[in-house]
Amino acid sequence: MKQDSFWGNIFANRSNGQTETTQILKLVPLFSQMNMTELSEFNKIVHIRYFKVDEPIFWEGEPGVGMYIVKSGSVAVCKITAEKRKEELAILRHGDFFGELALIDEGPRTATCIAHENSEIIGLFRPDLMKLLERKPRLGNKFLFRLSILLGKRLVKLNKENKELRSQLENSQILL
Amino acid sequence: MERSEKHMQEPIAFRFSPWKNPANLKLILPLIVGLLLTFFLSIFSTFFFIALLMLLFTSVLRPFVVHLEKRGFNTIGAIILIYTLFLLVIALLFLLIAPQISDQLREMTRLANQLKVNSGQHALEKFISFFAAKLDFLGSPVLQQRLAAQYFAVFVRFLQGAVSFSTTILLSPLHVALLGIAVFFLLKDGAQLQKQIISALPNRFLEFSTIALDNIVNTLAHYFRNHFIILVTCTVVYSSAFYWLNLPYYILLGFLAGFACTIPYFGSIIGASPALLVGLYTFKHGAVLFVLIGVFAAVHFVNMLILKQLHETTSHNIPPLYTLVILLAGYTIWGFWGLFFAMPLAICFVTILKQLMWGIQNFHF
Repeated sequence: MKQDSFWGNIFANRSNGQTETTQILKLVPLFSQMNMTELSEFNKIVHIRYFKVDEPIFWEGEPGVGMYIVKSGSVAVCKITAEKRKEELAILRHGDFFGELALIDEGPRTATCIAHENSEIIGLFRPDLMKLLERKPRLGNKFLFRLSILLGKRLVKLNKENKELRSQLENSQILL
Repeated sequence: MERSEKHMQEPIAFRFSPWKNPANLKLILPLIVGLLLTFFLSIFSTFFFIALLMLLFTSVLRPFVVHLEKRGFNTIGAIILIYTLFLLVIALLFLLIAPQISDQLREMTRLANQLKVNSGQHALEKFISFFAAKLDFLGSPVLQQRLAAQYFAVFVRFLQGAVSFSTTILLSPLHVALLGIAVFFLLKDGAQLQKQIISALPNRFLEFSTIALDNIVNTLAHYFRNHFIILVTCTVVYSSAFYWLNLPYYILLGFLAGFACTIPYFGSIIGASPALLVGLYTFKHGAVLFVLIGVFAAVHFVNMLILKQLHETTSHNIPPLYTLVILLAGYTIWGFWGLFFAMPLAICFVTILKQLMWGIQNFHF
């Protein structure tokens, strides 16, 4: 992996990495049911970037522009405390993705993401997705359908956790 | 009272110190960038005019390519089909209108030479006096003469500008070929070019550059597309009206009037000037002025009524005073043609500046 992220991004060998990128995309649930032709369309619009250790990918509060997939290395999801200290929430590794809500919502980022080690990240951004939706509506709809399934699953999981927490709270109040 | 007088006599201690307040730098930066841009624009004007035309044609053709892609066409296939059709339309227009335009241009040149060679300064003076006499409502012969002379000087400058523009840009085979090739490759590789620009920027600007570049491209494409519709519609309407009025050079004058429709607030006045001058000289009767002003007022009214939405989405809320300053700057740099190109260039500049400001406010750079 190139150590200098700036020159690495400019002179990255795109052709060799294309099949590798397609394989990584296939690991992500959003692209898992797509064939090679469909994946190659996404391959054209994604951005592959090299991040050095501790280099921020995005900061909390910045406008959400798109999602990222970890191709190699790892990424730390953090919250910056009032004392300006990093509080790590999760570490994402090869094939993990984050920031997918920004593909449909322009709202601010809810956490800060920083490269935990030298990493190669794939970025898929809203403007490129919108253009793909305009040009290839069928493929775009397929992607959005997968995204809505994923968000729905996450909502069900959150509801379940919320319910469990509520019942725990109610039980603790009875005990008090 | 005494105190206030004393206070008024004191010199005002005004010191401009931008380094003390960083907010002032926000004003200086656009000013410096604007000055540099204007300087480079004046040097590379031909290149920028070609770039503007290239953006215009690409913005107009892009929706057709997208439409075909939506219908299941292969991207390259759709581009080749649309580009071939575009070349055919241009060739057809060239075959149908070019002989008439060249005739009209030749006629105009002949008229100018006749005025210059045969009658010399006398004919010019006669023409200015004739025109000045028509402005008798001003009540001052000196003022009338001076105004007519100024008006004629502007018209001559416009003719010179039109000739040099068409010979240096549109009639140069190299420029036309360059324009054609650039339009094709911008249609084909526009998205990849955008991606390459983004890839050359540091990681911290990745998200900002993606969204900013997309907004800039979309805003400019929208602007050029809408103005193209306004330009074509108005050119056809004005040319038809001038043809119906038996005005000579009706295509050239219609094209100028149509082009001027894209200039906010002052477009009608700028577009009407050459037509009024030609009308007055041809018919040698003051009444023609009222007829032509009536035509311009009617077309302007209908244009604003029908194409209202297009005008609203492309005005970019630039106030009339700023528009006037931009037009004057364009005129000073490029002559008469600068009036037509100043606004699109200013819109490009304003759009880029707006995106930069948005980025500075929202991202941690």
